[in-house]
Amino acid sequence: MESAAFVRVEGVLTGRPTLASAAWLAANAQLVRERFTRLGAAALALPFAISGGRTDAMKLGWAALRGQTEDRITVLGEELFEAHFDGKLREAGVELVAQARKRHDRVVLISDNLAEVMQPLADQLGAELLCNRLEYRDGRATGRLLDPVVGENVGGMLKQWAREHDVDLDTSAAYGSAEADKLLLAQVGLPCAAHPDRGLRRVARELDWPIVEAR
Amino acid sequence: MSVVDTLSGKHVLLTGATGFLAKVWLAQVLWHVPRIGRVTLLVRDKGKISAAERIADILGSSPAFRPLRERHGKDWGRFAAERIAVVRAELSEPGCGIDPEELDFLRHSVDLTVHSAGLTDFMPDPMAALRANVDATLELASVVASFDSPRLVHVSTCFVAGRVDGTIPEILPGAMAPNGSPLDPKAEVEALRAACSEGNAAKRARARIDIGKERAEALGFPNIYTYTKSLAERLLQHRADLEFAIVRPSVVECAWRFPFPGWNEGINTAGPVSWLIASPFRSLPSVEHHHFDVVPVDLIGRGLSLVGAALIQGRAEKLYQLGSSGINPMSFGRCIELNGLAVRKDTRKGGKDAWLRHLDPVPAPVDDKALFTVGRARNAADWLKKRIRSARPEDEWSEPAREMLGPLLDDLRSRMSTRLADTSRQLRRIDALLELFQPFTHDHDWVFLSDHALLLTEALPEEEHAAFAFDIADLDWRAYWIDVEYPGLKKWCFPLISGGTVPDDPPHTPAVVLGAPTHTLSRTA
Repeated sequence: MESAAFVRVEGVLTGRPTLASAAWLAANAQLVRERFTRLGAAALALPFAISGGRTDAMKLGWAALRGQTEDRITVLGEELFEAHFDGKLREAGVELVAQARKRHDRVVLISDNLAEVMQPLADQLGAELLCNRLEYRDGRATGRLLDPVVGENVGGMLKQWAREHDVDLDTSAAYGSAEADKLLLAQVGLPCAAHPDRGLRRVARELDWPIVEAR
Repeated sequence: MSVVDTLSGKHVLLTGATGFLAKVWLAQVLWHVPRIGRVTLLVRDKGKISAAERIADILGSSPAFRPLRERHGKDWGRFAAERIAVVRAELSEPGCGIDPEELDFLRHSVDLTVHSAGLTDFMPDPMAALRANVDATLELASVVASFDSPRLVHVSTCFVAGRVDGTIPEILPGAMAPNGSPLDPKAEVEALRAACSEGNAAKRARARIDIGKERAEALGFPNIYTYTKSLAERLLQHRADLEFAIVRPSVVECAWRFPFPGWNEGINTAGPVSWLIASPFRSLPSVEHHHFDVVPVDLIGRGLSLVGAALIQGRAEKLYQLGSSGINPMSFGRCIELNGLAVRKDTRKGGKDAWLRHLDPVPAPVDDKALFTVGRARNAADWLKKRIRSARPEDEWSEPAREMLGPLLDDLRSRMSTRLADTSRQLRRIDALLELFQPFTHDHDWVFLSDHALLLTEALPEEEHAAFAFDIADLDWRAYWIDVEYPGLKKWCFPLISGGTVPDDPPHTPAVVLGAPTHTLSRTA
């Protein structure tokens, strides 16, 4: 069985919140008047994100793209990656990915962002990707996310992925930075809090998980 | 059905080799079937430039032959001269104006004739269109009928279907015009010729164009081009003295893969639409859900090879439509959005019109009252130009102020009105182009079935799929439009719309020289 390094993109590799991506895509709708409506719809997700309901926030935030074409989301996803992620990753996070590579771990990026935005990042880092995927019908987004939705409850998803890919979670590492990531980190033998928020720092200290600070 | 085996050692007669499609097809055949016996090109002299010089120039510097020049290097001239012969011809003249001795050789050696020549202007002088599209086809058909192998592939257009909406099957036209009125093609040609030879029309091309346009519209054709192409098809289909196959491409656009992605020649249908999207105009005259039937030129070339081989093998249908709408449809709405996204991608790193990237184009009906339409912009430019020219604020100024600032103001006025006049002229041109293309981009929703080409593709051996399959089903419109079509148009078409030129490749060295055609032909080359 192989080992893997699971890296939560949000927090570990970038400080940019996922909802900002949803808002950016909403603000780049085809019609100008449509942009305001979509931005308003994306803003509805904010209270959920603030109160820690990551899954609900994702479902609501990405629903703002309902009706947008797959063409637009794909092309703008690449642009969003180039504008806000490419060359702007946290050094410490990139270093963790490099170390995982040296250990010959499979690197798996976990993100609640869309595949259209994250795939170029995964390609760049030579990583596999577990992220949210929009449902499309007749070339347009329905506004729903395909199951499994990546939010705070990634534990089950991780176990299933490990089973399917013959990966041993006990010898695998995971990197997260938000308190919500504790469920992710708790699944692996080698958890690590990377530049954690206050909540995760407390949990990491209690459970004696290593902490990596941002540079 | 192996295209390579079928065409190897064969003698093909080709017309229209100075045009976009035939150039690409010729290059494709030379690339994939290097053992072809000979391709004889029927070409006109142009002024003092002989037919052979015209073709040598094309072989030496047209981007269509770039892959072949790269493959053969210094040997390209010899390779080409061994396979290509040029015969001076004037297709609409009796015997196509071919030298009798030459014609005699062709009669006994040509295996297949491909007629790609034609006048593709949408609203030309109808007399010129009759000569190029009808007379030339019929003369060539008569010449081919006298050949030992009387096989003719005639290139037409899907849009001979006329002003109708819906699914267009691959069946030859009957005795009715697109709008249902009876159409006797022979009588129609005579009537058009007679109308254009009388009174004012005999003297003025504009009057003849009006007549041609009126007759075309009265029968349900969108323009003089499709009207005369349809007449040629209708007259050809009754000929029993030759084996023929009609190939109808839809809108021919930039190359997908050959000679290289994006290559294009001239102003094609998508050109003005894409050009407008790259300009401040955000409302494009089109109907969102209508199909935009576009096929890359290299796929049309593949279709021609398939049909030519099928005709030689005696298994060809009478009609082949080479379209995308029946197999892999794209709507105008999608096309316009992809264009906008292509502009966005093109300006990611900034550029002259980078601010436009945040304002997406949208389809709009022709009578739309949107703020930024071409007509309104042109009117605004004309109005502003008049105002600037007539405004004389300096007349109210004191003498010293007039002396000091007058020349500056004159200079500014002159520069601004020149700029506005240029803009107005360019907008007028775009408006005229959009009006010409309107039947195809706005008025009608055609779905062209292309099942016959798919059947030929299925009959190809596996190893020839990469070279000859009509694989429009595999075309990813997003990748094609954003990474191939738009950059291709930007490089090869937009400069022409703006009144500029597009350079050819540097001339090949050593120069390609085509000698007089020899009357021997190696069948086992």
